[in-house]
Amino acid sequence: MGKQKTVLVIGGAAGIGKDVVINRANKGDQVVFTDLNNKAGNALVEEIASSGKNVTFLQHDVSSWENTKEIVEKTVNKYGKIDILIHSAGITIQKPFDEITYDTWKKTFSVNLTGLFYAVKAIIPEMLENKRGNIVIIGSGSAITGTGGGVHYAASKGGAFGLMRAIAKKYSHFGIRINIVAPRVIETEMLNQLYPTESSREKLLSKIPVNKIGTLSDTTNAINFLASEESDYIQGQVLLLDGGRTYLT
Amino acid sequence: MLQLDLRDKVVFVFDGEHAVGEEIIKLFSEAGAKVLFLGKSNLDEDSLVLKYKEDASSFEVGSFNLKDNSFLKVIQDQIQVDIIINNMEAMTGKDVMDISPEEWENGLFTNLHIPFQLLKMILPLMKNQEEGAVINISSTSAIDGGDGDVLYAASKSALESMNKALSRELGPYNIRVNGLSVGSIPNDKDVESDLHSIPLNRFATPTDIANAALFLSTPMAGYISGQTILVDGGKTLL
Ligand SMILES: NC(=O)c1ccc[n+]([C@@H]2O[C@H](COP(=O)([O-])OP(=O)(O)OC[C@H]3O[C@@H](n4cnc5c(N)ncnc54)[C@H](O)[C@@H]3O)[C@@H](O)[C@H]2O)c1
Repeated sequence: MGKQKTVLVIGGAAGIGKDVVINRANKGDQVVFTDLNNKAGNALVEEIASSGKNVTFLQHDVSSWENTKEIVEKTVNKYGKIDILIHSAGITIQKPFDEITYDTWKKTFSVNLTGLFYAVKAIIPEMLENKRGNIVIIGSGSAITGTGGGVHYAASKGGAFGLMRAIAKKYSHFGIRINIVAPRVIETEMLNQLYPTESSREKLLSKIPVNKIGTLSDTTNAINFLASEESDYIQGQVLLLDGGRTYLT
Repeated sequence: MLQLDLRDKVVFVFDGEHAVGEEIIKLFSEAGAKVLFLGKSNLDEDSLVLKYKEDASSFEVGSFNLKDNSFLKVIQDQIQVDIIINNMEAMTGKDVMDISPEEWENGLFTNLHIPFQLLKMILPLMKNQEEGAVINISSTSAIDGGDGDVLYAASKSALESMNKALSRELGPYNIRVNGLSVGSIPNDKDVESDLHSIPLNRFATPTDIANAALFLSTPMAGYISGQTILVDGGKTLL
């Protein structure tokens, strides 16, 4: 997959982002990852260090512009450039419409959409300077199907689609690529909470044509593909990662 | 049989004081509907002005706070809303690097937060009626990135996803939720050459949009929900 890259993973202390951090560290990339969760971030640094690799963790609240700007500055100061941004930070506060308060709505947007806007806003000038850059956003199948998470979650994740396309429209000419990986169900902590029993798992499985719940390798593989030169001609796209569920059932 | 009669229906058009909103109000009034709409003058969380139009006359109903139930107090004599049309629209016309956090936040407030909170206030009424239509007006920018305004494109694609999620939740109450994805209405910057990308060889007019909204509001669209219909002269062929 080519030579060493500088990779910034936002929301990298858990779940999908964490798996990418570990994978990239093992490949020998220069990895900086951020997360709101300081404890989990430091624990991951330790975990990776025990296998003889080095990664940098910076605590980060994506809903703060100042903080995000600082994260990008620190990463550039350390490595001179950022080749790849992987944006995975996100929250789900699952609720039926009637129970979504104004504050929950705004909070969901401030992390899932404004957080993404800040990251892109901060990183585009750096990528322009290098005349290249690759952004992979972890979106969600919810934006396409309206299921999972609730109206606020689906809407906030849907916002990423337009944002991604506006960036692609404006910056394709400048060597910047941007795409979305949109998973539906992936084996994470969150999934255990949503489908706690054997029977609920089986019911879920019966809806997925390939008869498998997505794994963290599935997301990492898709993210790595979009972040690589192998996908050089893919631009402004949403890669739906759903085992065939959305269109085939 | 044509069913474009909206007598005894109340439509709430969020933004009634811009070209598209004005045209929607005109057309829906002609179809017999009574119209509620927001006064554009101040988009303030604490006091939004609600106006009412019936036949040729319009008047101010009162002002309400987005964060409490004062909306219901304001419309107490008028506790019926059959159709909601969200045509709020804020854009920056700027590059991502030049949009300040405040501009972004103000944009989300107009495009998403106000519509969400209004829907929250009105939908219980509609649920009781066990009938209703919600229309969110979006833009082809959500699909093609428009002129690169991330605030606008992101707000519009968010609405399209909201339509899908809402249509699932409200379907059991016989409330249909749809969207109109509108192609360019010409502004000063649009030039004749832009027409090349539009098979129908003309820009959209407010009437094109109002007509489509009218269709989606009537029983003629009674089995359509969760959709976003492109009203773009054939420009987007996906
Ligand atoms: N797991 C799934 O099945 C699934 C499906 C579809 C989409 N997604 C999306 O994938 C992304 C990652 O999800 P995940 O399953 O790995 O979740 P996760 O909760 O395991 O990881 C998300 C990380 O984001 C961090 N975070 C939350 N708020 C933050 C903030 N304000 N600032 C910085 N970091 C913050 C969390 O601390 C956490 O470490 C999310 O955007 C989610 O919407 C996940």
